[in-house]
Amino acid sequence: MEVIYVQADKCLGCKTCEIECRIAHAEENHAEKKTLLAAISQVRPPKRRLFVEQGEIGKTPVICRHCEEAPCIVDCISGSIYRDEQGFVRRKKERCMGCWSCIMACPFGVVVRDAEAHIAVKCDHCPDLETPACVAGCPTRALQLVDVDSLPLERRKELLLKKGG
Amino acid sequence: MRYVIVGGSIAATTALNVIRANRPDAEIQVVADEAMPFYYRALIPFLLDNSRIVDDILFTEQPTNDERVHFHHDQCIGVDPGKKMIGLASGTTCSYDKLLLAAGSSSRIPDIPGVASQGVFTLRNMDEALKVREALQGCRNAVVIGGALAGVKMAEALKRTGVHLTVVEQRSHILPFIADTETARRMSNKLCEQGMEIHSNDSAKEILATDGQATGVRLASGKTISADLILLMAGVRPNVEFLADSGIDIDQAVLTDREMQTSVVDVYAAGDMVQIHDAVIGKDVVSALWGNAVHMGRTAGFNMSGIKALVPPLLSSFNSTEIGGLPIISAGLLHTDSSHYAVYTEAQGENYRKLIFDQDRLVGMIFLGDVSRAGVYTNLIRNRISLGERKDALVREIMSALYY
Repeated sequence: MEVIYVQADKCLGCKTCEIECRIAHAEENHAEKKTLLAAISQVRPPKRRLFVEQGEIGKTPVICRHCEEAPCIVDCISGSIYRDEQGFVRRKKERCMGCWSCIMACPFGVVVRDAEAHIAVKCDHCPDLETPACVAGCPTRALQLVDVDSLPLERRKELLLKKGG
Repeated sequence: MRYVIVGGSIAATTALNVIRANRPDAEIQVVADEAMPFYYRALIPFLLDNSRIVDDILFTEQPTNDERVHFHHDQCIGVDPGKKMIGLASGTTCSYDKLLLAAGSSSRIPDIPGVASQGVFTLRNMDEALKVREALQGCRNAVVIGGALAGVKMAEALKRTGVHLTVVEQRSHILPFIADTETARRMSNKLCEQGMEIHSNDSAKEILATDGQATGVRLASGKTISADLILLMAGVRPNVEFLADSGIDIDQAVLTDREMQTSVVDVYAAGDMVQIHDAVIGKDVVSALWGNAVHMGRTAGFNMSGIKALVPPLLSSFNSTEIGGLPIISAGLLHTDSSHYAVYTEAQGENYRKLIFDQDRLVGMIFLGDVSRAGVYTNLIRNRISLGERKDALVREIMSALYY
């Protein structure tokens, strides 16, 4: 399974990932029509699903981990949050009733409330794109796709324990 | 391996799915007193005002869609651990190797005259919701007795159908288990602005009826409220009566270890019929929280499948909802008068935040209005994290977030 790996020490805090995330989640159906202009001219501009935050050691993008035992799935009381065939934690828009249980549950604080649409919004790992928009757009490669299954255990531990990773 | 699961809501189905995934040889009997299919209980208020139809509240994946699973629409009336057998209301029995009790809870019916009148309903399952929806035809005034979360959610749904709605709560404020006085005051105001009538510090003494049809409610204060539809939302009680002769240890509800096994070997329990220990407030309680039921069901399912698992720390207060258009997330201790705790509050417009610390541990929180990143902090409470010197920075981070 390929997951987004964050290297905090490479992040400059430019927030390109946040912008790319919003553009990718614009209402336009065609990928080539999803532009910054399209996104910001929507009546309700798309919400970002990852957040560049100031941590103790510098700036770092905070992003959904698509947890193996996902607290947002546990606490979702309407059957809206589920795991898709690829293993990513997604949300069915039409099932969400805006109870915000997922926001209560997520220890990373990466599920957000779309007050106007009255639904919860979270990272969907860009299912229609080969590479998630945030990863593709990151100019410093602080965000990378890593196939966790192919990494030896030692390397995985090393990546996990690395400061800010 | 013969599994028997008593219950048909989230604790039961979570365990069922874990067993299905881990035991290919499983033969699973499910006994539930509600007919199939399974549905999300929290969504039944939406049936009242037709904002959702029945199909929209069903589980998208029905766990009984599996040839190893056999569903019985029946009621368990007793457990005989000696014979490893349960008795059913239909007169038959069912043998098990491993048994899960997840029979949930039932509406508590207040002991007042007139509760049996036409037009008076308890509302906890889909059948009841459909009956209330039927009774709403031509209804002009409705009263909800009980202003806790379930009562208020039902009241909001009824209100959306256009009826005049009154909530009666015997405690000093509505939403006693998810809010403190200040939060409840803010939410009451919001609901009242939207046309709801709320009588707190008052209780229903009698349901008035003419020719068996409810016409109103007489309150302890002497007031009379006319109503053609009355909902009894005065809390729930765990369904444990059927275990009286089973030898299974019961206090307020069924007692289990952290593997969710009861005092009787091979008998597990999960969900609303289990008593939990809330380490944050240091009390044994019966919680009726969805997330707790999932954790308990999952843990029971693993252990019943032969995979050791321990239930994570459970909180008795861990709620998120939106009332009168205001989101609220609260967890842990919500109110204290004890000087042992440090309490911080901050209000900014419609937003209100409250934090309660025990030394350097966050033990309670309320976020009203702006609920962003609440999970970061609820998890500090659940996992009883010692913050040390970071405590003050945390308070600043949480409170200052209301200003930008």
